[in-house]
Amino acid sequence: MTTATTQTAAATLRVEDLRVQFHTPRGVVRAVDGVSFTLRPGERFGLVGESGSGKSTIALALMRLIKPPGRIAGGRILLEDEDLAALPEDAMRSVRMARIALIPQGAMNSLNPVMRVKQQIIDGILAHERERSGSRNGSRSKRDLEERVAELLESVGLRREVAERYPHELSGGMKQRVCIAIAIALRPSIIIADEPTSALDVVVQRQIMQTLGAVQARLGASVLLIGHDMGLMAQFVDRVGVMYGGKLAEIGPTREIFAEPLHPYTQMLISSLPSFDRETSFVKLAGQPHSPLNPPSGCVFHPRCPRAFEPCPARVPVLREVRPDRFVSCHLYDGAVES
Amino acid sequence: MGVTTGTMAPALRDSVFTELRTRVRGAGGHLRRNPKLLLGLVMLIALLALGTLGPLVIDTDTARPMSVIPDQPPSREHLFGTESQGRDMLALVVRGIPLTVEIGLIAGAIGLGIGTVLGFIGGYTGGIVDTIIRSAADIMLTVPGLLVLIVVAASIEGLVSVEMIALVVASLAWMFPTRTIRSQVLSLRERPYVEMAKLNGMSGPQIIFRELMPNLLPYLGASFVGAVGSAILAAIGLEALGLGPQNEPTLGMTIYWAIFYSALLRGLWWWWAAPVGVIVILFVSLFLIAAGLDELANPRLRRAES
Amino acid sequence: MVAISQPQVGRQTRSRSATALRRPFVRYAIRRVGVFLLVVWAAATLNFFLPRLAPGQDPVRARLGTVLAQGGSVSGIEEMVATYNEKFGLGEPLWLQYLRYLGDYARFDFGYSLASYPARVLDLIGNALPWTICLLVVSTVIAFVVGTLAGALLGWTRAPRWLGHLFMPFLTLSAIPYYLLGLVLIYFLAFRSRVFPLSGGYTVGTEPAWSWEFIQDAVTHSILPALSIVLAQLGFWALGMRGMMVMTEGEDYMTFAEAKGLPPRTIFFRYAIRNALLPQTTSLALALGGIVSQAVLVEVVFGYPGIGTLLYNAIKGFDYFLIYGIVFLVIVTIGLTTLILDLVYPLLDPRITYQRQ
Repeated sequence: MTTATTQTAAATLRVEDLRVQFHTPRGVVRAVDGVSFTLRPGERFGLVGESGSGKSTIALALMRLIKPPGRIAGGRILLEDEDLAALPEDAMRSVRMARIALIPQGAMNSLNPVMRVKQQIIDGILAHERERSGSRNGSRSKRDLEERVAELLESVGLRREVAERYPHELSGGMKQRVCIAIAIALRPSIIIADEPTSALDVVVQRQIMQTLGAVQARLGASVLLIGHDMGLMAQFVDRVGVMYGGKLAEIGPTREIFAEPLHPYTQMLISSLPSFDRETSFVKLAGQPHSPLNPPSGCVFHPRCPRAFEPCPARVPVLREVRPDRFVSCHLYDGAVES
Repeated sequence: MGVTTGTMAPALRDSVFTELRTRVRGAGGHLRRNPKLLLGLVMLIALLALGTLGPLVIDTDTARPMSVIPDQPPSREHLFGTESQGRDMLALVVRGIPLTVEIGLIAGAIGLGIGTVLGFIGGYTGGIVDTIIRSAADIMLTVPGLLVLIVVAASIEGLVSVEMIALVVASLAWMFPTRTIRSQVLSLRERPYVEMAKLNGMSGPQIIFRELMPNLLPYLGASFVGAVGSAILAAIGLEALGLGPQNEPTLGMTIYWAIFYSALLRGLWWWWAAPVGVIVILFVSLFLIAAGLDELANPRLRRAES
Repeated sequence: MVAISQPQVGRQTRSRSATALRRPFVRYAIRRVGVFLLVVWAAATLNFFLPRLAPGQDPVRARLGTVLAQGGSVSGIEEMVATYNEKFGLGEPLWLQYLRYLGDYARFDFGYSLASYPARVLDLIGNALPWTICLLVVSTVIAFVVGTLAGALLGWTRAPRWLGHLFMPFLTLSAIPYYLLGLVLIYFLAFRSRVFPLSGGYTVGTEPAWSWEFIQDAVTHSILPALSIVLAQLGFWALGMRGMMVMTEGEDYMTFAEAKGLPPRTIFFRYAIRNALLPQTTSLALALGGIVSQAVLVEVVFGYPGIGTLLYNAIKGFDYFLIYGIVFLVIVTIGLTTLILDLVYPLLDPRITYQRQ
């Protein structure tokens, strides 16, 4: 697992050999099993995979929000050389929202139904500014705060009156914009967007992604976008990581991955996309993901892999840089490692 | 919605569900994993055994007034002591358990029966009928039942029998079952298999008995435990006020006489301790059974505890 | 209860002005008051018809006959019975009697006590009611607050483990009828160890007055009955709240609140409790009737000079007018309280829109 760390020196976030396990009565589930990747400054990085591949678990792990029976079982999460995985809870709390912000998956239910939008933005701001300044009421007056809330709402394309609304008075898209406003309120260097458009219709999806792109560009933050929709990824991210069975199968620039997917799983994913310029339209993904309780030996993908050969059931493949900036975890490329 | 969403990978969630499904199979497995249910059942069975097998061992004729020396503390001869009217406390308790349980069972069964019928009618047909049933149940629930029962019981002239008390209590025991069963039917009605049954041309009653009833059995069971419990509670309350069957030694009437003769202030602790002890065991066992059943039906609670 | 048990949650209205919100509220309030009046009417009607429909002789009339036979010594009781017979005499048509009856009840005129004539029923109730209200309000508020808080902590995964073990016995206590708990408390804390007075609302021989000594005396007397109500209720509130907290903790907004880096105390109070409390308030309205019923019996056990003891004595003395008056007034009081709770509830939950489905 050493290769991933060499991806680039300048990284905002470096995840090394991250492991998340869930302890169930039937045994241990390795939801995330040795995942390494980096997030470069100002970059849009995507993680794709089927449900159950561990991508959303990674989002929660990076925020240190894994709840029992799950736990972070190993690895490092380096944010500017500080290991978040080893941070005490108090210190981690001041990292959340201020340095790493989350745009949550369930847009419909992510806001407290009994608090006005305004209060839900302000309480997050105050929680961090109090900590920083040490004083009770912070440096700001109520009026300053409300002005700041209004600006935030306008920056995500909402009217300032939305501040006075309760969540149930807003549409799904508006709620998700409020979540984005909360995420950018403290100008974090990293924004994790966990399937931010999953509950929305297609038109609203596009608008939300545009808003997200705009605020990201303005802040200069890095975005980690998590999703299952390869098409959406292709439009938004610079680089993409493909996850399967709790492991990364492939990482590379989006364009290159679409032009020439290296891992057989990525190939299957991309050929399953409806396409205009390809004749062979819509190949269905063959087979089912394995049971998370007893993963197959060797490469976890080998039972479904059309190109599996002898080493696959025997040895676990390692994620390696097989071409400049292209990382693959597959025995097909064992000989193709660049020095 | 669930605790699991968001914090667990979906595939993992599936595996947890299979886990639960296997758990729900096999009653023996339940009990071992559910100490509350087990303890509750053991307590209840012990009480019922005392009430049914007791008369075979002890002489229940001593539950009549002036059959033993009054005001005796517990001794080898009178294990639970005797009270001021010259009755043996153990005999009173042994006679009282089946009477009190009988009241609870009759009232609980009638209440649940009415509740099931109304709940099904309301939940299945909907519309104005449902509105009336729902409103009636909701309104009646807010009324202090015991006070209404007091008026009813006080207005009955002459001696009250065990069956009459049961009927009086049953008249206010239908609201809660109606409410819970109605909401269950309402949610079941929307399930795909009910749609399928309708498309297959099944009639309303057929759907109710073949499709809905089997799915509601656990809820009916839990509702029955609850209805019996609250019926006994109401009956004992009425009896403690002196509105019970004056000539029958139900547990509540024994408490009424203990209060009536100031047993507490005269230091005759065994007089009230025996019926109170039995009632406490009865209610705690019903509570544990209900809590145990609740945990079976709603596994989330289990996590919050152990 | 009617509207709130089926609240319409989550309807999207993007531009709802304040006036548009107020009009459905008025309609809701009117309907809710209508339900209240219906309950009051039903309670009065029950009081009227039950004795008249009873098998055999009308027990009220039978009782009046007995009173008349024994009560020759009490001056004026003949006139009272005569007035009653004139108003509700057998010769009068039932509907006319019924209307007269409703008219009397509307003016809170419940007639005279049969057992302690010439005391009026309303006056007797007026003397007893403050005692009951003080005892009940204080103990229920304490039980609600402590129980709800304890339940919230029990359902909070980050709360210390020992708390659950500490609180488990109280959950079991909730299964026991209040007054039986009262009996046990009296025996140990008043009869055996004499820490508290055995019974009554104040020391026999003193006159109720607004003096410091008397209030102190009354408080000492109320501790044990209050304690038995509190102990028996704690578990009920704790259990309900625990269930709601477990549900709430799984909500997405809880995860998002944590992702905002909010301190645990803020998440606990402003996110978890604030949301879990909503159904808890509804159950307060639903449980009120049961609480009052149980408290009536607690008063009997403690000989507390409230409504419960008054009712107990009325039952023992076949004082029908007093029984009916008490039951009617208590039902009205509870109806009024639930009405207020229902009208206040929307302040707690902004999602309630009052509209019928």
